[in-house]
Amino acid sequence: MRMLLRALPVVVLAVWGLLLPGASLAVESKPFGIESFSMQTTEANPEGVNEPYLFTQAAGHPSALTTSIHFATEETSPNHFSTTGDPKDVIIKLPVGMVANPQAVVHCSAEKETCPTDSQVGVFELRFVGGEQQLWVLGAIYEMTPYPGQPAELGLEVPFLGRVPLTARLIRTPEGYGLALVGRGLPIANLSGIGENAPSLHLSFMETTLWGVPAAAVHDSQRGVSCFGTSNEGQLNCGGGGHPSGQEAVPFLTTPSTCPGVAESASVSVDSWQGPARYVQAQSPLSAMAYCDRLSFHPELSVRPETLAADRAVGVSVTVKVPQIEGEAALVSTPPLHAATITLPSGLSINPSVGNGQQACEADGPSGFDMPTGLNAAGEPLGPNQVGVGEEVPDEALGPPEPQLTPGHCPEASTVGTAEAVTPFTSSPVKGRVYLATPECGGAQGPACTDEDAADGRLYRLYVELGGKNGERGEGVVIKLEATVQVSPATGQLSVRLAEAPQLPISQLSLRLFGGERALLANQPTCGTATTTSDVEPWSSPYTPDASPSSYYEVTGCAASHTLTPRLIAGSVNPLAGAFSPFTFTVVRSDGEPYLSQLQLQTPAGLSAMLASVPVCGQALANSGECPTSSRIGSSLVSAGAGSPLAMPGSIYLTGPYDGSPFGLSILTHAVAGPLDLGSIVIRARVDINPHTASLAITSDRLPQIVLGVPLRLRQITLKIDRPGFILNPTNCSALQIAATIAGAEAANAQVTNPFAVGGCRGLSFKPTLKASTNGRTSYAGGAGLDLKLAVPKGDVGVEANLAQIKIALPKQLSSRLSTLQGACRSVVFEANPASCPGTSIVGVAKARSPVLSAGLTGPVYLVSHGADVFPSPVVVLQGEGVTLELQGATTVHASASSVMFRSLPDIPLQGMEIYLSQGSHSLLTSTAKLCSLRKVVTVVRTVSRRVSGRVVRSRVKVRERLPPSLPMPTSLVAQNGRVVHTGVKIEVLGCGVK
Amino acid sequence: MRLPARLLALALATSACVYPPGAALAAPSVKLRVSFDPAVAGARTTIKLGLRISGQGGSPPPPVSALALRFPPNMGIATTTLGQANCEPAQLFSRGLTGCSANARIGGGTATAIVPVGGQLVRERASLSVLMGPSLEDQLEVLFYVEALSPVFAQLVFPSVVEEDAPPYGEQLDTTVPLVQTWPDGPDLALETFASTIGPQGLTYHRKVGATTVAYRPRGIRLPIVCPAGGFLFGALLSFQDGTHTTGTYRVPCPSR
Repeated sequence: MRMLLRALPVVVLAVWGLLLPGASLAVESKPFGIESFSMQTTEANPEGVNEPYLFTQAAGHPSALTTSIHFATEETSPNHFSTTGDPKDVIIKLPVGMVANPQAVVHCSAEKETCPTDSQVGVFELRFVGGEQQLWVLGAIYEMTPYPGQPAELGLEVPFLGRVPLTARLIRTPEGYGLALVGRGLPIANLSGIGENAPSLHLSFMETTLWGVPAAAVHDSQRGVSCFGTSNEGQLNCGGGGHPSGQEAVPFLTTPSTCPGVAESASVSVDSWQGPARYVQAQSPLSAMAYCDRLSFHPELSVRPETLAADRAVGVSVTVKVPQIEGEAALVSTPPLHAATITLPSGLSINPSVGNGQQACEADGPSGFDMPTGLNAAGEPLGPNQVGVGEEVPDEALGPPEPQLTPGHCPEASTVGTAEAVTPFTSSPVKGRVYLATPECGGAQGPACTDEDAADGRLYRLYVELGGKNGERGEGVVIKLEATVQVSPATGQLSVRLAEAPQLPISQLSLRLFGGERALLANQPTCGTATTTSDVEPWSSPYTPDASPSSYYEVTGCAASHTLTPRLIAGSVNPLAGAFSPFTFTVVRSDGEPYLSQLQLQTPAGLSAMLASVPVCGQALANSGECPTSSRIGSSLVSAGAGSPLAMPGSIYLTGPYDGSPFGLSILTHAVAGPLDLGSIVIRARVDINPHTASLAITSDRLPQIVLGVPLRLRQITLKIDRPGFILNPTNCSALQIAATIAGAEAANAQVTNPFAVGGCRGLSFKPTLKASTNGRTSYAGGAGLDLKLAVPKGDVGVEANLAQIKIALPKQLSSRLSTLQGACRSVVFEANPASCPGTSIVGVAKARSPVLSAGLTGPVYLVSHGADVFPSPVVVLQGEGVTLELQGATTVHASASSVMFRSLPDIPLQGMEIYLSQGSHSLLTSTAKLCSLRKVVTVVRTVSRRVSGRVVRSRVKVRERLPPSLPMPTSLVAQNGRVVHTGVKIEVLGCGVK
Repeated sequence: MRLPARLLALALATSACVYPPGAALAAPSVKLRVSFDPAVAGARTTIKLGLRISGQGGSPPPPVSALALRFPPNMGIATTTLGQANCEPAQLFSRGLTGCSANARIGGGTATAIVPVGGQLVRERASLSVLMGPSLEDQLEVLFYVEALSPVFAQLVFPSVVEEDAPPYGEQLDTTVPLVQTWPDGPDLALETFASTIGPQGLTYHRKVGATTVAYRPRGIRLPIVCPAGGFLFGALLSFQDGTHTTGTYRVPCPSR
């Protein structure tokens, strides 16, 4: 039926016998054109005044908006006039900000032949010329029920010709969102119904007058009016009119809200039946609006999280209400919202968990947001029927094939929320979506995003799309907005700026960001009042002051004590004694607890690393996260965010000395939260080696808490050191533990442990040997020396148990010297710095080799006093590659003999160790006997060969031989797996002249 | 009555108990035993002195700071012909007894020191040699050389001087004993027993007779012919590092004539 009505003028033409378009004009010397075009807002005529006053109140409701188009005419012969073409399609673009409220009146259904006067929104006038004849037609303009996908449709009730539709479209121009009225197939008329031989008549003038408040009494005289007249008759024949409206006086038109300096303009584009699609255009300035200072703007702000619990992933609703002034008495409307900057509560921040499966919406392309600009590909304002970005021509079966704004094509996975706008422009709230927009920084080609990008809103952006989705056309209202999210790089506080909102009367704009485990936002970590502030700017700014509404809520649910109780999960993947095995360490924090700020991991005694096998990464590369693969020792997995945390993988590299420690780590994490590439995070850590146990202590620097304005809310950190042949299990199968100290932000450190044990110790062999020697030439002044050489069978690592204890019983011929004991180093001095010990306390040197380190270990042997309760004991300080190992000895005296025991040797593989107790003025030992005199003469049986009569004869003879002197030194060697080797080591006395 | 200017430092190195800090300042006890060998009036003899120091309540005694051995009159310590050579302490440190001439020896003996280490009392026995020290202008200096071997080797030399003593004593051997700390923050040595001879017993001197070196036994100290009533009175006056003092006396019965 609608199509029938739309075609009605043509039908009328056929019935009336008019020439077909294009054939009606015999003469066409001037091109089709517009002689004049004007659009004005006016007040109602005061008493006795013919010409109406211009209406210039911003955001006001004029009495009428009158649009007049004079089409070009020419005098075809004396006193014979004709137009230069018959206008066919007319597109009138209203000034930006000039809006109509389709809900102001009742709609007239297209099925009705006669519309009710309550749906009238104005009047029109058409003038036709042909020869000497003119035809005037006046009629009512009605608000029709719009087609799906259209916000409004007007119907011009043309006497005799029927109803000519004017379709209202929401369009985008370079100046902003605005309205366009489109009339297709304007009528051509003749007077065949009036007189014989009537000439063809051509539309020469068209004027529409839309009423500002249709129900106002001032329009009663024209309500339902219909007039017809010809120049022959010399008068109009009118009917109707004089009907009061039965409806509430609701404003239908509202003028732009921009004030002085902003002269809006309207334009018209028309083609002709004779030249379809060849449009001519004209513009008309609209009188600049004024009196913005009379406008009031009092928006309200509401920011509510879906849960008030602290440190939770949370959905958040942000609603800006702009109460509208309504009713007949309202001279002005509330100016529409132009921009809003909403500063969310401190602590309500971007949640890294949003990166789980999240995508971003590109600006354009097949999956793009396609923000309309009102420009064509050449950067010029769109011409009539040109389809710009963000527009499409709908299927004609669904309505007029007008280019209209269309939803973008953002991927579903880029949706982070919903949006809704309440506007009288539509019969129901306009719903839409909020998408995460692709950052304007970073990307595969560009430089990485920076804190400045985050602060300036180039990194975090949102697209807001109001209106249909996925083919739903709604009421033809599609509004696309872009919101920048400015983030404080220091605190993560968010300021959402929504700019260039359409100059439409939106009474409420709501954004609801999704909650759930991977919500975009997370609540602040601490309880208390959360305050949202804002700066909301109307279109009439600065003449109308900005508003600063705020919103509050209370964050609750915090534990009474803000303590950190992390869980530690750590261990060797292959818990076989002495074997190489990956080692994993995981610390987990629960929601609501203080954030992880620093880690210190203490591996169990005996869990060592083959540091020598890795080429370490240099400091510069380590700090910049550019370590080579050759120095990689494992992987990391950092989980960040509230709710379902985002897992960010990374790599662990071994570095050279760092922060005073012999080794370091460079833990490189690629912080990619879905489409948000937060760059690479480098965490440095010290690697210390316990001087007594050789266990590793890994101490991280302060963990980053915020990256590019996103508080990480670290939940879990996993370090997996899995380089083959790197981590070596203990050879001690007793119950050990992994310890960690976890520092929490603004909280006390937490100490956590995890049991650790390996098995299979019994399968490890233990075959070390110890040799000892001393110089037989001793003296009171020089004392005596003692050389000890420990050897371990060569073989694969993991076959042999490591040495745990050495106990040697010194022979009575070697005693400690009181004078040397008196020169021992006090333990407090030693523990502070062995180098501060007096020279008299250095009683020897030692060296050791271990496959763990590439360099050998060497160092002095100190005699350290631990006070009155124990004898001074030797301490071997081995150093190499920045690593220091202290082998603590213990001296015991029993039955006038001394024993020295190294009770807790580190559980690391040794290739050998040598200890030289020096001979000299500070020798620890002295001989209490002439050592060289300890040689023995023994009788041994030897086989000797003699030549007897040319034959070699062998015989066994007894021979007395002098053996080199030696001293017994009973020794026990104990392995880490408990195996014990008792050996009767003989101290070989050298220098006695006996071979 | 003239008190010793210095107390004999004998206790020295050999001994010294640790002396528990804060212990009650009750003086330790000392037992002195003296005998002559041979015990014949007017004969050359060797004086045998024995000391045992006990702490209060069975605890180790505190370290001795001075020791004066007091002899009866007319014993002739200062005029003895023992000690035909002088010995320098430096020689003792560098070479032990072999660093000094055998003719410098005037006696010998043993000493026991105790060192409390934790809950253990470590006893160290040492040999003791009494030697004629470097010659002084107006005094006779005697060196007590202590050499302990095991478990700790220690050499200690304590010089003492022979002085006149007030009656009923005639002479005293006055020794100052410096504190001997075993190791920094460690316990001090405490003398527990002391047994020494002064006299020719066990000594062999050498002298040149022409081109030949002849060994002989020195004559030693002559026991007075007149025995005081009640016997020969010997005394030992000990001062300790804790400030306490104790004395021990022993009267040797008059020998047969």
